[in-house]
Amino acid sequence: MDVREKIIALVFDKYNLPDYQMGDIDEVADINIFEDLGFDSIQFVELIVKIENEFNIEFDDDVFIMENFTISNIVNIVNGMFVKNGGVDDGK
Amino acid sequence: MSRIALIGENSIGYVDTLINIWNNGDCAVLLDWRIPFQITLKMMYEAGVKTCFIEKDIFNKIKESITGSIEFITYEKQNRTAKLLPNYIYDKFQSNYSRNEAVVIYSSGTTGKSKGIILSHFAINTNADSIINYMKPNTNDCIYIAKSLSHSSTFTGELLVALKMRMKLVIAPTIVPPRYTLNNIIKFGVTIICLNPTLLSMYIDEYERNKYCLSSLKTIYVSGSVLNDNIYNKAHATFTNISIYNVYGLSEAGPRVTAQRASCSKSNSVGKPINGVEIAIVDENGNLVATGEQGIVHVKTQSIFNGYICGKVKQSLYKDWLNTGDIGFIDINEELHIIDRIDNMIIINAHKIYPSTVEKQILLCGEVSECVVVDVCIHDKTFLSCLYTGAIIDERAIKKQLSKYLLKYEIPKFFIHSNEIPRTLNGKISITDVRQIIEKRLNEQLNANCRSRKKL
Repeated sequence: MDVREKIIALVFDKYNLPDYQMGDIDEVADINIFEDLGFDSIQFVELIVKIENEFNIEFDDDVFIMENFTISNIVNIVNGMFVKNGGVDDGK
Repeated sequence: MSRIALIGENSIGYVDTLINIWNNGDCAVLLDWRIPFQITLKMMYEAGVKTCFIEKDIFNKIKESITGSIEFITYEKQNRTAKLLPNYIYDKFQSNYSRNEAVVIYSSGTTGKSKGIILSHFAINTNADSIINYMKPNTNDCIYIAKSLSHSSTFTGELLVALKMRMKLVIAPTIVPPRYTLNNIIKFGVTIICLNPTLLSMYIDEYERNKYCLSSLKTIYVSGSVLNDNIYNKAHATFTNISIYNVYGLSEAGPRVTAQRASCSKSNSVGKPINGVEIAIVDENGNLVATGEQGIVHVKTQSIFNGYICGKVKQSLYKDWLNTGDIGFIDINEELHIIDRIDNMIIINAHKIYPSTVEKQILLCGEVSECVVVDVCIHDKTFLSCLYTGAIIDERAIKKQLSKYLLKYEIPKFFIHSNEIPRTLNGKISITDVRQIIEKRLNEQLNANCRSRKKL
């Protein structure tokens, strides 16, 4: 699994729904965590902690004070951190 | 008086705008910015809102989808990171004890449609005064707001308390990792923080990972839902030098009703009634029950709400007593314990089952991290079932273990493992979604069994 697949798996674990499988990755990229999935701030904080643990990273404190909480935005932020840290470490 | 909507993340600009609305003699309709905008629009029309103050960044996101006649006025956040509330905000604030509408709060809608609850200035200010009375803060105290200001417990129990006492108050974004808050507790010398059980649990995990020096922190207040015994014990074992107090309330009551304080016993109660509040526990016929007996919690408070936006005014009131819809009891120390919601009570074959009693025992049995017990209907028959997270359990073994502590009809027939417990927008467990997951999985299992039988 790459970064995008792992993040989608972490997001959709919340629902445990078989409807969203890996084949739908392109369809879910623009899904908004709050508006489309009904996350609240506490659930989102839980997701941040899960992503950090999964990839062994620490987000900057203000990284999620962003305008668009889509899955693709989160994936970009995580990928951006790997570039900043000088290489891809997908937590394997 | 007009009802003016306010939409934004916690910020100095948000508090500034809220006080401006009050100082203009208007009522603030507080709407969570994370609610999908079309639902927010409906709420605004339902409340008769004609003007909405909205954070500029949020407005830029939703402006294309605006329809109708509501006027939107943007405001600046003023802070993107944690900041102390500036003095000019304290200077602007005036305590107000009029019976005019001060705020409309939208409930979480755990049991159905989200309801607009109207609270007067008198209600929120008297409630804040009672909170100050048991919290006994001083001007050297510093409170950190970690939850959304659109919730009644946050703006009455934290913001109003700080404004009235001129206590230092840290306003910070709410969507941040737990270490952000723990680092800011150290940075600002925070002495008081109010959390819900989920946040408390995440802070415990983060504290155990990185051992923060939280020497300034004196008190943690926990509200929002019943703190289970596991988190209660873990919190006390982790934060040994910090007082951890449960508090209880509901928006219709101002919201605070009871609170633990230093004089309370060391049990997982929600404490004693605060000033201006009386509690009565009654049975289904309205008769008072004896000490230690479970019944429906009723509250009489000076901080009672004015009514609901939808017009079903004070449906839950009987002779000034508010039916909270919670099941609880008062112990020999006169402290209130909340067991469950009456809506959660399950009746199967005429047996009354309180899910929380069953869940408590399941959690004590071992590897289960979280669990929810509900009734599900499969092929026209109703069964008690459990959705749980954590390690996969041996169903036969857990049923045997539970039989030592529960009555036969209280033991779930089915145990379904899940990676997550579904929650509503406000973080409360979504019973509807839990039922759907269990029913779907049981039907899948039944279909798979049918297919394999056919093959044979």
